[in-house]
Amino acid sequence: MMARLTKLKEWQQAGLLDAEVVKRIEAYEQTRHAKNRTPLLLIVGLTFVGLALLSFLAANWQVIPALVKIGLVLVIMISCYVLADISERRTIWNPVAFRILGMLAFLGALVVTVQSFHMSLESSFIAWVIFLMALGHFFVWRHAAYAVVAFLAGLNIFTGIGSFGNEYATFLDWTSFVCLIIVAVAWFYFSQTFPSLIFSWLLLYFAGLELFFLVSYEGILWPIWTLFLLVPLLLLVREEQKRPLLYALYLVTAAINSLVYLSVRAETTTVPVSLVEALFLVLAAVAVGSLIYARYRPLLFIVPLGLIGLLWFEEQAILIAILVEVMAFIYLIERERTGHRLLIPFLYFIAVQLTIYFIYAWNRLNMSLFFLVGALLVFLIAAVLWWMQRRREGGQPS
Amino acid sequence: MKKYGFAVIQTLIVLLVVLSFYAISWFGESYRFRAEPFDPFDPIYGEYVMLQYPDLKPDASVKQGLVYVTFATGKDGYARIDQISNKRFFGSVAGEYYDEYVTIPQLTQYYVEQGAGKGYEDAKKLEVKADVSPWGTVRATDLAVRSESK
Repeated sequence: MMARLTKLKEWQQAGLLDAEVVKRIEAYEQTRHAKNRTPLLLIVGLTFVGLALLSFLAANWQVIPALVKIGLVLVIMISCYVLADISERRTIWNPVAFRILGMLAFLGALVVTVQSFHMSLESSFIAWVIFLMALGHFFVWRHAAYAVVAFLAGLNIFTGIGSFGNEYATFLDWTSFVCLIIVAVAWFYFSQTFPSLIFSWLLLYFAGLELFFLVSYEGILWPIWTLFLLVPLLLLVREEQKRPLLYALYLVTAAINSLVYLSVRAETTTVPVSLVEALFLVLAAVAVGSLIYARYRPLLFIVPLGLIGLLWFEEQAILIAILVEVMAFIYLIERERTGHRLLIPFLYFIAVQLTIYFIYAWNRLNMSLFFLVGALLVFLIAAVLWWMQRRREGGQPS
Repeated sequence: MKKYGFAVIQTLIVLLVVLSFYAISWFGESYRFRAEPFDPFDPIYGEYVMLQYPDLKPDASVKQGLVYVTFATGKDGYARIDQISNKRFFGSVAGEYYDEYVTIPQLTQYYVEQGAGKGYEDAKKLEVKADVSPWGTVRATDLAVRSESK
């Protein structure tokens, strides 16, 4: 501060600034300083008071009556919102942080309530309330941080659904499940921004997987069904430039699925698939495929997953391996030809090679040979990668 | 309003939850359950005792899994199963029939004062006072060491 003022004087004497400007700068610095001083004192004071209060409470927590405990946490919650308001008005600190603290205090109040009345924390009620409140915050202030809180709370709802176990899903579980889907779709539709689009999409996808636990039908194709069912969700995305990132989400999910199905099929012999379901999945793939072909071409690569059901009947998983291998290769070539970045296709390609290699070579080769061939394979892949990159950098169009 | 709306709504929600817990006691019946601690547990969030209820043993007609029960007080002053079914019926409490006993989720864990859990676990013979509302919710109100000599 002092250094700056001397500098100002120096500039004024050198004739660079006139006296009026210097006065204005000094006045500005003065008020800014005065403005900053109170909050600092306030922070120090509040910290000490807070610490004293906390240690007092911690020492006496067990003997405080339930209602007083709950009241205390509620007071903390409300003061968080008051601080958020102050911080917004005076543009100091961060109002978002205070509101998130407020939501945490709300969570604390609910937990304290449930515990002091000896109720169990098992149901999804608390997660639901936090989820809805965080979404409320998000739609009022449109800040990504609230979306993160909502997503975390949403994930916690799943742990509460079906707490009685597989076949005993109650009416309440189903209500919770259906409501979650409705709310997630609404979140997806009304947000139209990242990261909310991704979060709500993931919640919907997990909801599809949750069906595993809710119904007693022992299918293994749920993940693919869910992925296909989520394709029409793209119709709800209004802005064209939001789509590529969502495409990536579908493709990554499909890629993970393909690898999981491949390795599970190769390692197990007993998991049954109904032929009718497999055929229906093919039909669904055709239906979804035609929608994708008409409107969302980059997603065509998820369509072959529809064949997994049929290919599952071949027990050595060779057909699935061929399908995944061919798709990985075509995807790589296609990306290369259209001049996209090759990192992701290559990672997937390598992952496919390594998966296949592990599944088929592990039990059939002796260990040293296994690692030797593995090393050669990695070298080969690296060489292809290097060659392709060189060709692109050389500027030769393919 | 926009600024404090959430503070108000969230406060109201907590109050509603508190009210709903009290309502169980206001409108419900009180029972005493024989309880036994099991599976000593050392959780991060406060200390609690896990409980099972030897009196809540259904007859053979009931299938394992999700069950619905109502209670009645027996001659010895402790609660026993009045009606039990695998189907929901009016005024019933949802529970799970697993292994030998019926467990009611709201009665399986009881928060106790820090350091007191071990004492309850060693005492073995416990009793729980709980209120059961007509709409099928349960609220445990007290945990004590059972004084009978049985």
